Amino acid sequence: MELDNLDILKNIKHVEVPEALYHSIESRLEANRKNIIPLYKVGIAASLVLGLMLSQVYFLGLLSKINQSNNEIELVEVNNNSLYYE
Amino acid sequence: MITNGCYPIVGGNNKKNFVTQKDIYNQYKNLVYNLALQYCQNRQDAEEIAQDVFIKVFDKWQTFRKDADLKTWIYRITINQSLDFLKHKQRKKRSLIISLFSVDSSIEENLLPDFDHPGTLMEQDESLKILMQKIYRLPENQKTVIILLKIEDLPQREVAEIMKLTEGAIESLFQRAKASLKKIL
Repeated sequence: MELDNLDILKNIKHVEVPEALYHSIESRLEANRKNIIPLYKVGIAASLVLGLMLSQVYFLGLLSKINQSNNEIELVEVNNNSLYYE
Repeated sequence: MITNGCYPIVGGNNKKNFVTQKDIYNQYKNLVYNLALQYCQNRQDAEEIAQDVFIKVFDKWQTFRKDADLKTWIYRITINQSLDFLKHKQRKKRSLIISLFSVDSSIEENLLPDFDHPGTLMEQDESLKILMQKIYRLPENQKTVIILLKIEDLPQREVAEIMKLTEGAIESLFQRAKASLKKIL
């Protein structure tokens, strides 16, 4: 084969694109779009998580306040040595 | 990704216009499909590559620099997509051959594509097939330079722009590609 004559490659003709190609692209794009979660849904989910976290912090704070007051009751000093109902 | 189907584009008068997805497809479908065909040398793979290219184009439209040439950008995406596709396909074939025969011999022969190029004329089919298979075995850059210069018949300046090289570098790459082909033949 005459190697210097790469011009043989110019004989390769451009061919017509298959009709169905655009439909395949469209359906793949459509499938990709379905997989994308809309921003407003992400926002709702994020605010729900944030709300849950804040309510947890609030209730934990409330619980620790109750515990603290219980501990204070337990720590009342007894200054006499008398027994019960003596 | 643009979801309303209108893609902003800067026209010749520097005014912003809008084109539809179908417009972009119609304008570049021949370029993309035929270029993919030169790389993979069969219709089925070319269709798959063309699909991937257009999905990437629509997906990355917002990253496209509006002052750049759209055609050059699409050329680059097609070339990269085709080379990635070939690498992936060869890797799959190679591992299949190794797992079946547990030997490396004759792998190179088996890695050649299934030649089904509709653009070749019947009487030249065999000689073109042989030459195309030799081109297929060239390193990526050399393969690209031959496809763009000799098959797509693009001027050296445009090839240099697409490949982000100087015209001198393109010339020397072409000479190296010819030398490599001589060695293979």
